[in-house]
Amino acid sequence: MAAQDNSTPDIESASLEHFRLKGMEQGRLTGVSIAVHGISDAFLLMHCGVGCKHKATSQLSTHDWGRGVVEREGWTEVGDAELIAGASDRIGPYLRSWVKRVDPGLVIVIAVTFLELTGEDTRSVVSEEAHTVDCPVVYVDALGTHGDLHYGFASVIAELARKLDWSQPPAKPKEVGILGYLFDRYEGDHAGNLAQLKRLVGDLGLTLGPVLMSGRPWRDLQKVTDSGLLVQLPYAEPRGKVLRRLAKKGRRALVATDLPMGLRGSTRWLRQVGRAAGLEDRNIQLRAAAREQGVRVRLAPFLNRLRGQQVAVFADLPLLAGILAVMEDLGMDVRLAGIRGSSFGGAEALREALGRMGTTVPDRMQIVENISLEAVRNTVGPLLGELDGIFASAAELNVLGTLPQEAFLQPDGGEPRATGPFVLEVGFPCKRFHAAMPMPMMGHAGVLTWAQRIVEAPRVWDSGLAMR
Amino acid sequence: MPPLSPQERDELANSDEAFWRRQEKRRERGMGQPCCTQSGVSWSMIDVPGDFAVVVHGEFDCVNCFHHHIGRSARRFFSTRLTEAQLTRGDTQGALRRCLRLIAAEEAPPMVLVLGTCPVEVIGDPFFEVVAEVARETGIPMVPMRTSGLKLTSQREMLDWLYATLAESAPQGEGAAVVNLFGLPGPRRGRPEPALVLERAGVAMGACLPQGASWQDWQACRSARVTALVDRSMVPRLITVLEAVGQEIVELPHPVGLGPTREMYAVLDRIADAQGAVLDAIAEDLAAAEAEVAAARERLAGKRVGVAIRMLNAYHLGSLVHEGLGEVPALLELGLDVELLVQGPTDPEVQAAFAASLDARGVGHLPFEVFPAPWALPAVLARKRYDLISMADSSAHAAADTRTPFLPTGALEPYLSGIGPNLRRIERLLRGGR
Repeated sequence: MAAQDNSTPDIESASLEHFRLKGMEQGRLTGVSIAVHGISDAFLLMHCGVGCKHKATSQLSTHDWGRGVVEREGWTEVGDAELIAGASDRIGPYLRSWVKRVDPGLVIVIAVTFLELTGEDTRSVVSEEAHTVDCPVVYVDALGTHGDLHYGFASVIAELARKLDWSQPPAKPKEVGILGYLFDRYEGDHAGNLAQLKRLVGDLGLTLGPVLMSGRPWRDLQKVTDSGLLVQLPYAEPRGKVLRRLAKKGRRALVATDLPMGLRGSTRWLRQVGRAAGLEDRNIQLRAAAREQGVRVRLAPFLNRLRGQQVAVFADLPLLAGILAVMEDLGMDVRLAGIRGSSFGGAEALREALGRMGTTVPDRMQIVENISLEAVRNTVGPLLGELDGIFASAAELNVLGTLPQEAFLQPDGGEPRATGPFVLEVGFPCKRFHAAMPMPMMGHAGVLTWAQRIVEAPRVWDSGLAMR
Repeated sequence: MPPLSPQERDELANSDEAFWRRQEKRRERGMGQPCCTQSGVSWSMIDVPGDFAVVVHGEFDCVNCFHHHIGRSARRFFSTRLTEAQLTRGDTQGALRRCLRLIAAEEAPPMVLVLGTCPVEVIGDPFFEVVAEVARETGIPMVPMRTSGLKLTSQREMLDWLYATLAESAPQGEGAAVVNLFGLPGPRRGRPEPALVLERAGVAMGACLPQGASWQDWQACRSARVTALVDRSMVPRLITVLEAVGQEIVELPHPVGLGPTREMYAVLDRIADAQGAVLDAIAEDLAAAEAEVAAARERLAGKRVGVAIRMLNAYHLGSLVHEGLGEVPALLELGLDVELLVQGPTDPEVQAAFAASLDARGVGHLPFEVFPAPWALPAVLARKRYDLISMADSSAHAAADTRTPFLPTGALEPYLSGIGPNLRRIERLLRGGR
């Protein structure tokens, strides 16, 4: 899959919506930064101007309260004088200085668009300078004209996979290595998810190998070549072709899956991975049924309160599909599904993902693709009288917060409401939702976390009327 | 390629370190982090409520240089989303023209700011010509700003440029207002304390700028008789614009801590010709604050506090005031032993420049040490063993790793109402210990 272009070929027919700020405007550099952050001893060297640092450091610092970002990112301080002098000469000295200072296990180097416009061959310069340091150095393309953060994240996975030696037979045939886990912070949500992945793989009688990315050092992650089975999660799919080629060449079994979310979604994930490992469906089904039942028993007292609630969900496509699977488990009614970003396709791709996960597409559900913040406001606005909840990133929630309280409590033509909808922050970036304790969103048990978050989600607009 | 010999490695390492130091020296000798002016202007405008529009003319990822999840005007931003092909062909004007015409036709904003970016600067795009053309055609004021990250501009210069641009767009004219307040910190809730005090004293208030100001507030900025501002060295261009319409400019202390706040109210009383009414309005609160500070000083004097400066890239006026030293008087008046940590080049000659700059700001008597970058902070803090460190939030982990009680830069509350909470916060941190 190529990086999707964020432009329109015929500018004269472009609408104002094309130019408006979108719900997700993070480009490839942010995704590269997230991937580098997910390798505990990696360092990101950005060949860029001063403002580009915000695409990495600032965006991620908001999202991750678990670990600092600034200590493991640097830039080459390019200004106009350096452009004239030839900016790529700066890469070597900065690379060596940073390696000396922080002793990284891996360095990723990127260059931004305005430097590439000068015609300098940054990739070659990085390749030459890599020989002057004692740690692996990898160049990743991160131009800002096309491709969203997910394409950037997947690019790091692909470039690193290319660096690994797949020529030997896997040393651990019963081990499952995972490619494309979107580890974007050192917080409890990921600790919980990684534990769930371990449990899912354990249910198959297999062991979980390295997960790219998972906050581990590079020396651990590169042992993914030992794994007998590779699972490719959706966040690697934008560069999945590279991974499939490498797997084929290295004679590895590789299975591409959706996120293991929701009860049915997790069970289907188990079956899919189990089949790829050559295991029998019947045993997997028994184990999965026991897991599902355990969760259903604990959920039962709460379902009456959740069932039928109407919600709007904005998320990147894999996460959106996962949340919709969870909503079905909880009996909630999704009225609006907003796809953030462009790397995974649009409405059709969402329906396909839901089909694979065994999730029914709700009858009344409207799907919108990569819409602007203004359109988020205008699309959610008319539904406010009916919505019980909104799942979205901090960017969409921020723009909805500019609506007056009356819009939530006294919708046009409707009865005054006791409360407005609950809001639940998901995706990137998170401003308010941080996880100090393990809070899995994936696996069978992840459904309980979602239920808990919904039950305690704040309703920031309150009229003071009694609840009915 | 053969591996380098040990001798080649040593030679490279030495030349690299010298190279790196030369790069650091290019930076301004002032105390602020350099910034991208596009990023800074966008970051500043995104929380100004109003119907204006901001167009970022460049690749779409240039709008990723600022946050979209904070600020009330994110939906007022647009990007021309230039493609690689448009940039390499120099075919950038069509997208800008189309974007501006659509904004004019569908939104009719009172003003459009059009911001340049690095890619359009590199290709020498004369975008201001398109801006002028569409402004003429539509009758909507459109202001091009050749912003980018290519020139290492200080955050103070960037903000001054933006504020002067906004002030120039305001109508001139004699209004009823006596005083504008500029650069005073915004409280957590409601209007700034001095605005409320002035109103209580019967003084006709103008605009409170820029924290929390709306587009309407900016439109009123040239109507008052006096603009009272904090740190006039920050905004020379803005002052020129205001003085050009006959406004008197008066400097105020940064009102964090008892001494500066008391002095601020004395100045406001004088310039508003309030004949003691302003001071009467605060007399009770002032007396209580004086007693609190005196008591706290007894308990806290002699504790060692580090204050790290030159770290922030947040375009926040309050953090840039007096070169980032705005909170130091509030710590000194408690009898705390303050030491400054300055992020920057560690060369002796640059240190002399830093010393001169600190002296000019009235804190030349304080000990200071220069550290090269955030990565060096854990070692510095481990060695210093401060009782408290005030520094940028982005380095909170360095404080946690060294068990140093941490006060984020800019966390102290302003005004008389802030003194009690500040004392309790500082005391709680100091009492908690390492």
